Amino acid sequence: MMWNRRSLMTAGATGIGSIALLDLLARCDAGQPSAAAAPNRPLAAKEPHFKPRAKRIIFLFMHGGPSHVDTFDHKPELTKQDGKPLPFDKPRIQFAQTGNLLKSPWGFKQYGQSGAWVSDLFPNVAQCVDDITFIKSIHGSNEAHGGALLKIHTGSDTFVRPSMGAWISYGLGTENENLPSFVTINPTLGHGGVRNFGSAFLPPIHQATRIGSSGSGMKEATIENLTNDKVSPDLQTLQLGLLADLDRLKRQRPITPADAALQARIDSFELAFRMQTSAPKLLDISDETEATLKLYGIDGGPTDNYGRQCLMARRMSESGVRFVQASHAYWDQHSELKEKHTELAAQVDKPIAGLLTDLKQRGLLDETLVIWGAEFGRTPTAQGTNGRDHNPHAFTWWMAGGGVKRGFSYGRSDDFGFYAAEDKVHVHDLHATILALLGLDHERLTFRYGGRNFRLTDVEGRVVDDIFA
Amino acid sequence: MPPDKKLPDSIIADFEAWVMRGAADPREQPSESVARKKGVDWEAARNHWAFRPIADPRPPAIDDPNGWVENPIDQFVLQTLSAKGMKPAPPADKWTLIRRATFDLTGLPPTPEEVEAFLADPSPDAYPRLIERLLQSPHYGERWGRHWLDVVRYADSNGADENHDLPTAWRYRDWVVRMLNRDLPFDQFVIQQLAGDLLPTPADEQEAGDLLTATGMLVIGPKMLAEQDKDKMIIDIVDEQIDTVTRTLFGMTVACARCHDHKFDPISSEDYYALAGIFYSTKTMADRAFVSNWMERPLPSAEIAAKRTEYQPKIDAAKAELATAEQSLAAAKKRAKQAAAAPPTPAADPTGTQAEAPTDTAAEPTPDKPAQSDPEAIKAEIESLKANVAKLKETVDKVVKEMPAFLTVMAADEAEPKDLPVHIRGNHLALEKEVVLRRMPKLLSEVAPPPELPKDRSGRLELARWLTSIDHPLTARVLVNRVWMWHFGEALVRTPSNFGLQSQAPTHPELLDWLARHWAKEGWSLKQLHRLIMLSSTYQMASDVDPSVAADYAAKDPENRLLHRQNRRRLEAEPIRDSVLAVGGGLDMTFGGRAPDTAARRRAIYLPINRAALYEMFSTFDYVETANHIEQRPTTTVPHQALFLLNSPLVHEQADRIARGIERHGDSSLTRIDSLFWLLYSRGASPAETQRALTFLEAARRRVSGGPQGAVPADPKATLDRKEQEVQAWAALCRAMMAANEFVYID
Repeated sequence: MMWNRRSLMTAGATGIGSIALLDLLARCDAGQPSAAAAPNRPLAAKEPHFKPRAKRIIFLFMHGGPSHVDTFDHKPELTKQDGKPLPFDKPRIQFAQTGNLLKSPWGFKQYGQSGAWVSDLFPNVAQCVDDITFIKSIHGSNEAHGGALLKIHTGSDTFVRPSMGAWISYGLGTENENLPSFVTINPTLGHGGVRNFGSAFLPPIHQATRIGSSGSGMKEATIENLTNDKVSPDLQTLQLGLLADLDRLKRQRPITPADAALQARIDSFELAFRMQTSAPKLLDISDETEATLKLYGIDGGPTDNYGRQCLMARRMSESGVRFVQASHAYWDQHSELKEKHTELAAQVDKPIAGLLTDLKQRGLLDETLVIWGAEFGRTPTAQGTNGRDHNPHAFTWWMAGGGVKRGFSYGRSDDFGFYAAEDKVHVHDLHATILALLGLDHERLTFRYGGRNFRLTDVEGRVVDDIFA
Repeated sequence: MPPDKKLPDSIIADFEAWVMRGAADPREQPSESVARKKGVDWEAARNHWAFRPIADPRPPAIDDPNGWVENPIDQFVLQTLSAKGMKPAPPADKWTLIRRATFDLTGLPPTPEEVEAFLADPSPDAYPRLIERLLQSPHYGERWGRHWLDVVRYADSNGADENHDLPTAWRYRDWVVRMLNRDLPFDQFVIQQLAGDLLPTPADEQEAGDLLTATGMLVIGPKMLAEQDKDKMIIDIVDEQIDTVTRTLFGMTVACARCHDHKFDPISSEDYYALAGIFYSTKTMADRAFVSNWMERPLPSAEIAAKRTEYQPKIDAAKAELATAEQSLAAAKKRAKQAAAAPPTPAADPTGTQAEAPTDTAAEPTPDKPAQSDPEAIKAEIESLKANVAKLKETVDKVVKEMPAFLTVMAADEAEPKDLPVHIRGNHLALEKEVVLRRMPKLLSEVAPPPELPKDRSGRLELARWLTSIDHPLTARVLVNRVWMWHFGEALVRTPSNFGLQSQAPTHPELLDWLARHWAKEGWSLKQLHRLIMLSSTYQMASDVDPSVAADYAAKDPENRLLHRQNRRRLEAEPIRDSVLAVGGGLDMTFGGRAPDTAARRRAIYLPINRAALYEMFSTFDYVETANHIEQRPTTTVPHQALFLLNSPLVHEQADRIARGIERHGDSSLTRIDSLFWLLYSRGASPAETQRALTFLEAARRRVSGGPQGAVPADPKATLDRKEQEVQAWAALCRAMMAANEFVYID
């Protein structure tokens, strides 16, 4: 390797970054991940507030709002009273007008030791219910997609606030500084767009690195500017050496504290270089076995794309990415509920079950919290003849692994699934609970901005510790 | 007895409101609000520096043996430094100075020719003339306009829930650029943005349109267009406007008082809703549709108005024709009905049809057209008439649509004036009984006498005039402080949008007041403020101090609060991108208008700002927040920045352009390297730097891969021809030089 070791060694007392670069290059050559030693480490792992139950999160986000009463929240009463009016008031504000009760077109069965009810839409996830905690009493406050997405991602449908992933990156840093701490795969760019994975007033390094956008084909997934076909690693190494030297020659004097920013910048190039070697490997799934691909449904069929998203999520999570979100769209069935939900569920059911199984096999499920959910559920009353409207008043999320109870169900919606009824969990409570599972106190994870401290949960939030294992 | 079924929602809401008011027993405390306890220490607030009148300090007389002082700014700065036993840094090199000043005022690097001319000019007024030239450049408005767009959260799409394109927002952006270039006094600049529509309409169309365009500031914010609780949508928009206006102009976070009295600052909930009434009485939404529409107002144009008048008869004619056809159809329908109702012998029961007879007299059967026509024939006639009506309806639609239209602009209008009650905990469903009359915040009104607000108008104009009155303690201080920040990287008050009790005290309180008062009194000219600041010795200091005192000064003043040197600053996203294009010769300098997308080679300020999917280069380089007032751009150092400068197609493209034209800079590598330094860094290369670049080129030639135009050859082992190899080695050098600190930092 053509490398001017001497020029770097003379870079002065704080030239440690350059020494780290040499160290790093040596280790890159040996194929070893680096623990990173650069002084400028905005993503360095931080101690949580208390002992964490989970180390990282994979969030499977079902954009559009799958119907809870057709998936995981079984409502026999809804079937019985099919076609009758809802026996209590509908909410003051509704997105659309709905009519009478509409029974689920799907049958429900009980699964596993826990006997959880799952509809015929999710036969594969149904096999995993003994690893899952269902929360069936979630409620939010916004009945439109945009507001509801912002609410569940940032805690606010009124103000611009950092997203949950950014808060977690800010609170915990990352286990692997060669990679971003927060990655979002195929997010929607509508309905709040970047705000749903942005950092708002938190340092921008905590915003998500985006791979694709809603519906992108995962075969060509890439991170922008990660590599350039025209530049070999050799040439890039030369360039890094040159720009470090140019900086040194310009200064021609010992490095002073005022130069810290300049030095930090040189260091960041090293991190970029490490990322160049680490990140593409994560996106390239060619080293996975036939069996693994099959497990995720990566077979060119309907499950192929989300299967790839889930597999990439596992690879990233396994490599230490703190928060990975894999989004799937578009569960917004104001009509044709039966046809579309059938089609969409068929795309994700196998990949999700595959992910849970794979994580479990690898011993990763204990420290990885997998979350499945959407911005809201749907009304038990019919919109038109064969659809359901948005329903932020009751919906179901589930969590698996990462310190939550297995084969458990928390909270209840009313007999029809219109309103959360018992052990209600607001979106703020959900956020407080997720942070707590990671060892973060939602009241202490604060950032000072515009003269006051801000937090993900604003002034709300109840930790639902009943679901903790 | 408890009720046997659920209470109606309205009653539950009443209970909620009552509980939120503190669930006070009405028998004991009929009118007291228990929940909203007073949090503001009004006495402390009255004594807080920012809420006191702006002082008129005299620049201090100081010992200045070296003749360092150029203007009063320097007197204040030198006094502070001397008190700490410190000296100002030496003046910056001339090439540093021209690079600093050119980026500061235009956001572009100086050309090598401009640098050489400046270096070759020994006259004492070379520097003042440089500043003057830059202030007169049309690129000045593009640079400083961008700063202003930061504080007023400019964007070209709505963001929020429905990311609709804002197709006319750019007119507001261009207005900002033009007005800054024209040096519109800042008080007018503010008044026009808050209330341009309420000023007397100028005779000149462009001027009249400009006054409307200016109010776009109020309309361009992000809005929850699909919020179905439309009352909430409107009050949220009001809040968004208050937040932007108060952080930008008051330097205060007034919006905190939406839910409770401000925790630290002298803004009560009543103060908030008194201001909110002004914005509530202003119309920025056109409707309350399912996905609501914001206000677009027509730009005045006599030419288009004339065309419309000329065109109108076309519409009238089409409509008349339609009306006739509809009458014929109605008549035919009536006959059909009569024919159906009437038995074959028409005289049998003439009253039978009377009961159902339509009132339309035009459809009465006429004597010469008896009602007993053949039903089949009538049916056919009706079909034909229906088709005719449909066709004519289309024609009318088409003609109306094709009428010459006024251009429109996002702009505010007056709504029906309305005073609002305090919303308990910010909840629009829990209102206090009494409304708060629209007015200025109470404590600030003690310092700046408040205007009388008209009953029949919103009060926006009065708010704007009050804010820009000479007695107002905040507006001038806040603006002067921002301008200082945009020249020095750090402000005198290091919380530039929060001058409240939680703010950082000014590093130079007297300087801040002197600048604010002097500047406002002299006519609020921004260009005059730039001259004052940039001609000071303070601005012209080097960013490095004498090595002999470096350690001592770093210990005494690590953050350079005392201004013992200039600050070294990393450029923001826009100047970095524009510089890459400028040095590559690929920058399109067209002024104004809207670039189609972020791939355009226009200056960065003209690229569309999509709130839901921001151009990645911008977010990578810290222009992250497009939906909120930006107090100060952060400077982060993240690996994605390095990846952009080393690998992005944009940088590759421009580096290639430079490399392919490298022959213009002579035959020898030495002169070519020197030229690259002039182009990229505004200075020549030192011998050591030249040597290092030569070493790089030699090594790079052996490592460049890829075919002509950078395409990867089918056979990766294929070697490039010598010429292409040379180009790629030089391009690699250019890219590394662009990635180096010197390209993106100004000293």
